[in-house]
Amino acid sequence: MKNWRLIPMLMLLPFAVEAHVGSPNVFFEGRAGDYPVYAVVRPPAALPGAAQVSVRVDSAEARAVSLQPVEWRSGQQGSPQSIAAQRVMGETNLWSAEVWFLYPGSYSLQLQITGEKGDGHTTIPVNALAQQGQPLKPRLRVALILFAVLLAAGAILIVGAVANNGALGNASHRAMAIAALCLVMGAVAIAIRWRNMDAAYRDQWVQKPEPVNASVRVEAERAVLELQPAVQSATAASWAALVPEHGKLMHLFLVREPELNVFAHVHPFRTGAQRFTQELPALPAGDYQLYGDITFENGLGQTLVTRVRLPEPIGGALTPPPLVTNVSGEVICGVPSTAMTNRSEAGRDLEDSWHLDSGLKEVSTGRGRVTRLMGGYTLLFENAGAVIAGRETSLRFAVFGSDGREAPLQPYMGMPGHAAVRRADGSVFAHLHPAGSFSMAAQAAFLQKSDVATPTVAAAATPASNRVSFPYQFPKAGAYRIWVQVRVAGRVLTGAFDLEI
Amino acid sequence: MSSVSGILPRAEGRWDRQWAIVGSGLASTIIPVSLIWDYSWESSIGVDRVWSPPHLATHLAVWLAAAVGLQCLLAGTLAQRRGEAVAGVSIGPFCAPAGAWVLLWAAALFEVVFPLDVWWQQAYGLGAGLWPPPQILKATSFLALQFGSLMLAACLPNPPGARGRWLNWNGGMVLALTAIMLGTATLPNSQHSAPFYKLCAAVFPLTLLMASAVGPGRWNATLAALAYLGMSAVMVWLLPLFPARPLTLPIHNPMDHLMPPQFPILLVAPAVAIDLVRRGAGRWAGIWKNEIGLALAAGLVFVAAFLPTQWRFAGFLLSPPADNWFFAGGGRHWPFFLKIDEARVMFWRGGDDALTWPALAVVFLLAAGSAFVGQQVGKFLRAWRR
Repeated sequence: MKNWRLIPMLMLLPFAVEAHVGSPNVFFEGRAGDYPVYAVVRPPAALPGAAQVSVRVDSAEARAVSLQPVEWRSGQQGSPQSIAAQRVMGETNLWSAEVWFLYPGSYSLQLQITGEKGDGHTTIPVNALAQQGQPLKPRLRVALILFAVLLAAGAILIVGAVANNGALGNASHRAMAIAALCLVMGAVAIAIRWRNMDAAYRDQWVQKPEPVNASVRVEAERAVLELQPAVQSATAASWAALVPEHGKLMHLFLVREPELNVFAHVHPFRTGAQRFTQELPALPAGDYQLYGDITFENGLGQTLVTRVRLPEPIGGALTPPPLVTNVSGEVICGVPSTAMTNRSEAGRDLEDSWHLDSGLKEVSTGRGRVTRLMGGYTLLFENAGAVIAGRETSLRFAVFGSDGREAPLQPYMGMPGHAAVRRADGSVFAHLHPAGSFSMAAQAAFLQKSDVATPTVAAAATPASNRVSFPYQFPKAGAYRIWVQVRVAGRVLTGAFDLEI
Repeated sequence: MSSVSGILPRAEGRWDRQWAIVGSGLASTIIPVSLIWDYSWESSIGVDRVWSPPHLATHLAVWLAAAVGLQCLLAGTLAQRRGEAVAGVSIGPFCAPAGAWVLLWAAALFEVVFPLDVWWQQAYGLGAGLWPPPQILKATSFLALQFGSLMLAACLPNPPGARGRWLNWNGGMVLALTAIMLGTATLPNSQHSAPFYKLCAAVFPLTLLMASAVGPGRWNATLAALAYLGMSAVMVWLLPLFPARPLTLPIHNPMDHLMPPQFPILLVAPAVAIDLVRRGAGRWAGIWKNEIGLALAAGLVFVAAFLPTQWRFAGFLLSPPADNWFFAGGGRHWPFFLKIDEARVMFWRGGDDALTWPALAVVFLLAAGSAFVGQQVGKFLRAWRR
């Protein structure tokens, strides 16, 4: 009787896109009114399904937490009543709730906290998209096969007994043979159906990056990267309806493989309804993995994934102007000396940044792990040793000057820092902010549609501090590299750490 | 496997036959009732947990069937060990009526499929489409359970009147389960299309002929159709009395009570026609003395009686006069998550799915084939005494 539910699902099929790569959980760190909030949303792997939400309120005055899910198209009019979160047993400031989503799509959770400080509201955008589910556990698989054999034997014996004793006359063996044949045919038919349904599900529903073509051309002594959809699809057509994520339509990350020694965070310009272009800095030649984060106006996020081979750089690899000269010569952090945003075909954003190192220069100290930044600065990863897979944590960093004194951070695209996490095999990639892993553009879009919630202010760090943190949960064990970007003394600096989770 | 220990007049068996018939009949009833409830629950509340009340009811039906099967198995086996002749079939050292074996097998199949179904929902949701393997296997277990219940009622002795009523009732519950399995294809909005009549012709004559053949009276198919109509109509009237509201989204049709299912299909008219044909089979033996002739006649009268009745009734169900608690029609009752506007009172599936003369011929052939199979199953059940 689930026929009905499938009808709207089929209408949503073209929007099975992927935000981040292999990292579906949403982390939120901010405020709801006067209450500091840290929330984690674990969307269901399949739909319909339940998202598990946990909300930690760092305030003794909070009394109750409730959530109201809102779907993009139907808005608050199409939302159920708020769901009261339950306080987790043994905890004083942690609540949990289960929120059901019927269909894939763009949702938000309207979080309300009530307490002695009054009511506080905030909005957490969530993309509910189908993921590749967990395979059958081996024990269950074996048990099912065993029971299937027993059931088949039982069916044959029953048919044989009936045929031997009843109205069919004494035709036991023939009836058993026919029953066995029917069972085998049935099993084959079911196996084929299973295989076909699984293939169709993987092909049509499981979130995966939209195929995108990346090419590099030389134009007026500039290397220009161009990104276009590889196939025409509903998602590709929606490129015309993007909204800026902290001021940029696309955040593009380039990672040089296999060394991972070059990292760039640039912001291509849209030069056509379905085309983005970017004047590349003089990055070293080689193979690069590209991750491009975009957000559609309905709040759905997508990470474009592709590869490109960069030619020998025009003008020499990373021969930077004095502004970005590294005193040690080991780490180079580049930023454009001049913006070229007024060019029609290609350009470079003022907040583009790139990073080259000749190998990680990490050292472990009593306070944590330290990596060297350009200009003699150092980046401390305070809790690198406490990070484990499957548990959310706040990745905490601090920046120090060459003299060991705290180096105050300046806003970089409106926040104290940015981070990118990538698993060695490329199966995980996430773009993190101090406020979490959610899309701020999606949050703004939902806020625009609703007059209930108020905007969130990132609370993980203040610009005056030398510290920045990123809430995140490594989805699975493995080798990861994390790049952390901060702005110090007007310069964007990037530090990298390798982690074995 | 050993041979049967003997055949005695059925009244001399030892196990509690009344309990077996009532218990299995109840299980056979709870299955479609719980499925209709589940449909209403999903359409009104939306949150579909593993142990939601309708799902629990389905499990209870299966456990009840298993309890009946085990009780029959225990009683039969003990009686056989005491050296008494038992009207059952033996598998190894165990002896029970064949219906009890089928009930046990159906219950085992359902419970084995259950963890697979839970895993499937978590791994695929509805993304993989309808009728995935676990759903097919669950439907198989439901049908087997109802067939086992019919076998028990057909072979076990009982006061003839009561046994006949249970046979008719069980036939009605098979009709109800079949109608549920056809799903949204049987909505009133689809009832002017060829696919609807093809589906109905493929499945309902089978059950009606089976019910007609297996029952003790002259109006077995009619009584089975009335049982289906009665049970389904009670669900239409009863469910909206319970408060409910959607707990998930999107909500396009707000509601504050459980959504009534669609009014049942009018199978009484073709059932009466089929009963009349079967009664006439003896009188006009020259015309349809063989089974194929009877199946063709049953198929013909099914189409002749069903099509005009349901065609007009569908028009009524979509009209304003049907917008009341009795018929739950008028195109008003839709799942909360379905965005539907003027299509709610329209007939769907025209064009290639229109009911043309060639399509009508296919409907007739399907009905005749279905009737033939139902007749054979009914004959088997009528003759079965173990």
